[in-house]
Amino acid sequence: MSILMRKNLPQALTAIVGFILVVDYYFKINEIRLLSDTFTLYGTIIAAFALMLGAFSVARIQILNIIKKGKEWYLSVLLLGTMILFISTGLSLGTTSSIYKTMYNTIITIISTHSWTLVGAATFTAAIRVFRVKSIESTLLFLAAMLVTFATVPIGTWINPEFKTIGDWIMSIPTVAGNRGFIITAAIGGIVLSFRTLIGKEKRALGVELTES
Amino acid sequence: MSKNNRIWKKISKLDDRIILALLFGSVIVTQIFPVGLPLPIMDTTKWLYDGIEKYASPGSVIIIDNEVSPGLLYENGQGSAAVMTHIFRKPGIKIIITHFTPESPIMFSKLVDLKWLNIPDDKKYGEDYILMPYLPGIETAYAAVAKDLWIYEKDLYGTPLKDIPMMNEIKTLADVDLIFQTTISGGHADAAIRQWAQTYNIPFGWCLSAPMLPTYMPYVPSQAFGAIGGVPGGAQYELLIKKPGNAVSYSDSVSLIILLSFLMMVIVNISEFMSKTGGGES
Amino acid sequence: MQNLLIGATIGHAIIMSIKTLQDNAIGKIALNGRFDIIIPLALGAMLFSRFIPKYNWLDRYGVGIMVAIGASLSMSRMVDTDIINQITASIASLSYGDLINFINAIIIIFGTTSSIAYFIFTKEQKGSYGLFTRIGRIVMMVAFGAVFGSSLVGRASYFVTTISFILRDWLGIIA
Repeated sequence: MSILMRKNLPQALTAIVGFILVVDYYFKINEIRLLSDTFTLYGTIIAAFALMLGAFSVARIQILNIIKKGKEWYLSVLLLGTMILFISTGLSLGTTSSIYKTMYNTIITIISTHSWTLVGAATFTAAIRVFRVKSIESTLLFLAAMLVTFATVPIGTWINPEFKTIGDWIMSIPTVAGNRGFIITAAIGGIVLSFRTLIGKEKRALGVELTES
Repeated sequence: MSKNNRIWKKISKLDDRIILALLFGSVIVTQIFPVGLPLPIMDTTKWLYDGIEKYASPGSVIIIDNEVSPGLLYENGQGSAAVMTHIFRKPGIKIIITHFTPESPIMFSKLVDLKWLNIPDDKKYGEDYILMPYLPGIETAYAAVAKDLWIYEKDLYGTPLKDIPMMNEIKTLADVDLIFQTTISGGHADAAIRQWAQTYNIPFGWCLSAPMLPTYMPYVPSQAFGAIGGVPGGAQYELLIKKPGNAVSYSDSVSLIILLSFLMMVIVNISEFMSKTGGGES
Repeated sequence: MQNLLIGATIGHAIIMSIKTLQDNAIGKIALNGRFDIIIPLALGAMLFSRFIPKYNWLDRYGVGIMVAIGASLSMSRMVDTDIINQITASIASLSYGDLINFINAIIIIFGTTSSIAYFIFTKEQKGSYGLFTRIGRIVMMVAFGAVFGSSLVGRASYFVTTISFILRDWLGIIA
């Protein structure tokens, strides 16, 4: 009974739901269509809980840090305080209110936007210091990068208008060829992995292997 | 080690501070003294523009899947606002704006507040356009919306869909004539093309972030009729709709940064080569 | 700053989830009489059992359904979108009539097949097959170069927007 409830039943449910949705795509059977629509709706509701679960997991770690007076516990207080402020404002005034939007834009938008500047700075310094042209492949990578960027920015076409034609060609032909091979290969891998998950071969998806009980 | 070799070696290990100082300095100069270089229009941008012109005809129903992110607001926010402005200018259309990330509803109002997105006065909320709330689940959410647009029950402001006149004729994705998606997430881009464009065979256009555009080129123009990426794409689209904005003003600075970066990469590589062939370290 | 951002983001995520559940789940039960919605509500609530060591296996039901839906939805459509349509698009470009377009189409087909061949590890990549896969690798390098170049452009715009924000909105030096 224990193994049935803990392992076999969840795997069986996964397989049944998954195969109903697959059958619905290829065959037009009204009853299967109805089940498929219902499961899809259920999925969005469970996903809302999953989003909350992630948020609560972070909050739980911060609460434990505060209780144990761990490292930089005052920052955990700041984190939880901000979280509670947003939740209380959102619940009382709504997320479409001007106060909530101002709070959101002042904190999240501005900090996020300018954090990405640091990412940009790190990328540039790393690319310039570390990029070394040592083989045919790296030379082609560098040339392709240069030609595509010069086609996109005004200074490239100001130096030579042909950069646009070359850049367009690189984006439309070799880039498509390379990425298409990638997409097809990744799709085959994805289909195999999804199928293995549905038939219960990939137990990690349900956490069965890690917490075998 | 010879003196020349030491110089080459020093250049090949260029300090971060010098790199950043040069880049920041070039931006400050070009922002204060803009040059106004002519901007080339990429083929994919033109295809997107032509596609919107063709498919956003009077009487059509259009879905705008808005997923502008706060962190990358300035990367693809301008481009998406330009395309949305183009769509909103079209007469006699119905627009449904969907959101599949938690931050996108607020980002839509941010685009309006920043005046990047201009909604014409003759477009009435509830009659010509509607904002849908956030729906979690990515691929699951896209599939759920495709099967039944009334899955939402209420719009973003809490009005039941049955009280919104324009939704009376629109039930599923089969009633939609054009989809435009703006996203920075590969998962959302894949989900939209699979669950919406491919399954229902609906014309589809994209505004992506700059690094994503080459990766999604295989879908253009067979499954998505056009795409723009990042600030350059946004700037090009602003020119096409004759509404030059911030993205155009950034073009000169981006140009100079790119030119300086590639020059520095070439110099660093040459100096590394020269330091190695000039005897190297003892 | 980081903690401020994380706190705000998770607060916002919780609010959006609550709103979704209010409108989509509870709203459907109250307005449409859909009492079957209690099932996903229960499955979703069971996700939180992972915090209770004795009952943490209960979350497998909710996770299993979510994984099943995601995997099956993507798997079924991937065949059409990412395999069949991609192959069709490669071959269809042969019929464009123009000589240059024909040559471009040949390049695309050759490049695509050689990059797929590169990922076949059950056959040793030597001789003419090795040369074929090497061409695939080169084609992929060109593609990655385009991605690298585009990402540099993207990163450049972050610099520009921040400096512009400082000069325009903060210092008022530029209009």
